This record gives sequence, C-alpha cells and structure tokens, in this order.
Amino acid sequence: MEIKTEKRIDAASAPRLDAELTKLIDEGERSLVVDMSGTTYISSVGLRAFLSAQKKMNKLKGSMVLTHVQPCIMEIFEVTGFGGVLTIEN
Amino acid sequence: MTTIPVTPGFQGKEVRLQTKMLQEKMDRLEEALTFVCGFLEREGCPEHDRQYFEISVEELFTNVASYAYGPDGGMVRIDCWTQADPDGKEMMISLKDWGIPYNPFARANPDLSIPVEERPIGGLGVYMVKKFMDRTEYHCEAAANVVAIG
Repeated sequence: MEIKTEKRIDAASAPRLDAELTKLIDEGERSLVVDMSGTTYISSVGLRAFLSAQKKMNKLKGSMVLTHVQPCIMEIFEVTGFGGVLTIEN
Repeated sequence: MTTIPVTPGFQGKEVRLQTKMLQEKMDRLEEALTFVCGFLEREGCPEHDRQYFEISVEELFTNVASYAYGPDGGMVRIDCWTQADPDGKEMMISLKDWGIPYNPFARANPDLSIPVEERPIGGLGVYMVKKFMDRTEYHCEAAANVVAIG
C-alpha cells in the first residue's frame, strides 16, 4: 500500500497522517510505502507520527519505507536522529 | 543567529520591529506562523533559514498552548525584529507568555542513541529549536516567560 503525504506535516495536518498510518496498520497492512515527494515542511508532531508508526511496524515485523524525501526534509531527519530510525529510499 | 548581508554602502544602524498579540490556542498557530513568515520574507531572510524559524516558532507556540496556562487560556506576544548595521542584518523572534514560569531550553535533550522501540515519543520539539537556531534564550521578566531565538 502506498500513501502520499501532504505539503506540510505540521500541528494541523499531522493528526491526519497519524490516523491514516494507524488505521492502515490496524487493518493489517504490513508493507507501507510513504511517498514524501510533495512534503517540504515537517515539525516534531509529524516526526512523532512516523516514530509511532515505525514502532508498531517493528513490533508486527512489517515495514514502512519513506520514498522521494526532499533534501530539506532529509536534513531535518538527519538533525533529529531519525535518519537512522526510519527506512528511507530515494 | 541569522545574519544576512545588507545593501553595499549601508552605513547606518536600523532596527525594525513588528509585534502581534494573540490567544495561545492551537487554532491561532497558523496566524502566528503567517505573521512570522511574512516578516522574515519582507526582511529578506533566506528560505532555508525561514523554514527553520517557522518550525521553531511552531514548536515554541505549541509548548505555550499546551502547558503555559490553565483551561482559561491566555495571551502570547510575538515580537520579530531585525537589527541592521554595516556588518549585516540580524534577525530574532521572541514569544512572551504570562503563564507558569518555565524555561523550555533547560530541558535535557532526548537521547537519540536509544533504540526506536524504547525511545519516548515526546521531547523532540525543543530539541529541534536548539539544533536549528544559533541562539536560544530564556528569561523571566515581570511574571512573564520570554523565549528568544535567532
């Protein structure tokens, strides 16, 4: 299953992402691909949504892969130590 | 501190300030960010630095909205200012609230070496501010918290 993230993952939109990831995992999805090509802004609430989903997937032996991550978002992942936590394929 | 070059030949000293007061509710966050980004754009702040300012203001505003006041809520004052001299133009932003005294920058950084399964979900926001900004300051004045970033 592939989903596409919004332009901004901020306090307003992150709850939607969190709910979507949670719903997919709860419904049995074990191979998630997250296309981030359109995302150019992410704050800590967005990082928390990904961390929460990654934790669930690890527990369930599933996978979540982030693709087409923009350089500005990659920089934020690296600075916050998420580069080594999330699976990113560009 | 975000410093950008001034027009060649600029010899003076100039300070520009813009202020906005708004309620500390999360539904005012967008208004706060629009205000800050508008100011930074008009002042010629590069896009990369502007985004780091924007994320930092979102994190600090969210902190105030979540913890500073009780159920009755309160106000936040946002000041954006630039100070230009022949060496360059410095940009700073501060948020002031009149809630519970709290220095967000005194909080210990999250331990990023912890495996993902054990890593706590919270604690990232202020860490991001500290990493993205060159200057992070806190002071308590006349029963108000003031955090400044630049």
